[in-house]
Amino acid sequence: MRVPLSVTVNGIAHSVEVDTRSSLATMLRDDLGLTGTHVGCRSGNCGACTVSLDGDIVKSCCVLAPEMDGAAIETIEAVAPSAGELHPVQRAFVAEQALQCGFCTPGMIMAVVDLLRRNPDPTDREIRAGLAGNLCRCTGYAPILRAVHAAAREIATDFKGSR
Amino acid sequence: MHTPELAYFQPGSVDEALALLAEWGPDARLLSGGMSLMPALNLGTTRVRALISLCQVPGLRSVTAEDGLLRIGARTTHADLARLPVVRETCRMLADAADGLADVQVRNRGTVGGSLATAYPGAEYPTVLSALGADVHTRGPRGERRIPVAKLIVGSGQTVLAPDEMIVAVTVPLPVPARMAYLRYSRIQGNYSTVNVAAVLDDGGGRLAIGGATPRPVVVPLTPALVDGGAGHPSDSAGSALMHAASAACADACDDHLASARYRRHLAGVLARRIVDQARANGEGR
Repeated sequence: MRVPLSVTVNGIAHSVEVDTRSSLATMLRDDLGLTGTHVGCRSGNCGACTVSLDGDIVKSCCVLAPEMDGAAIETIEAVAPSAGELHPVQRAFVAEQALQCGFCTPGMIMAVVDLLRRNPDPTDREIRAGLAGNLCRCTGYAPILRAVHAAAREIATDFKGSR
Repeated sequence: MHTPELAYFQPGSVDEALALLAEWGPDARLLSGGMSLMPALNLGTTRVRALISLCQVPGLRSVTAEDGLLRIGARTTHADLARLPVVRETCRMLADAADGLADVQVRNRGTVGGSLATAYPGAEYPTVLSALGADVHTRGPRGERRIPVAKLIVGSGQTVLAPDEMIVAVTVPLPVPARMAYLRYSRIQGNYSTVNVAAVLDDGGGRLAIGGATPRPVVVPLTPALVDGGAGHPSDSAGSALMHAASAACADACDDHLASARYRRHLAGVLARRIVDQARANGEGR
């Protein structure tokens, strides 16, 4: 069974017809070709598939695509401001070597961007709680914590500079 | 998803959802937040032929406090409970419990009704809501039912809900006593609790609920003598009595990869003492 949907992804309106068995992650990857969203576990544990749904982050492997009619979704593809420029969180991840294999990174970045939007200057404890839904098997998390702090500082500086 | 074909429905009312549930029987499942059902479908541990999404049923995602009841719609998310002022002001323990479960992404999507219907041992709401004396409100072909949360769950993943019945709301009697507290213990942040405890104290004693230790949460009525057994109290005999009562209530404790039954019974006693003390301290504004 297939159902037609109207969804807005990264600001662009799409009309798609999805298999009723599809998850949001499958819709993004297979129907819309947005393969930046990774699928690690399909069980809501790893967080690699994290996207923003109507302003709140969710694990897209555990959201049923047919429910997405009328939804607004943001994925990792929309985080960088332009093709040649990275988001401060992405730059901090590079600078602090907060990734190795990179599989968890799209979900991590989505979660960190969401965290810093709600809490621009988080403590270590708040970062740990904010990223509890994202697993990384390479870094041991310490570089990720450093990257979040570095990104928070850079965003704060940018903000002051722009005033 | 391990099914050759999946029928999908998006009813616009509770009546319509119930009609679909009656029509499809055990082949269908209601989809609320999907935080337990979707992983089970993805991994093939649960199979269905039809999903009935509640995402377009109006009125299920709302919270009100009136006529002495905090009424929580079944599709209210954990994040809603954690951030809505009406919950935090009337029942802070519930807001804190919602804020501490799972992780950000799951809290944004998972729902109160879904969690209760899933009835996983170690979930927050069965414990907290049992201690609060809350009721679940259901609808089905035979009308409405009001079931105490403490009687909803009969085993791991098992409830007294009929297959064609659905949870529409939860109500908590107000005002909630100031002397209340909730505590969870899990080895990993975000996992279901190995053991969790909630205490609500009043002049006649109160209620202690223990979750995660046993397949279904247990409620221990607290006498004033047992309340005196909090960890900060000098009387060792009262403390021992409280610990013993809590451990004894967990006679059929779960024995699994997380913890042995003996460990869970012991932990239930330790946490009981700690939480009764904390509840008492909360009442003194500490």
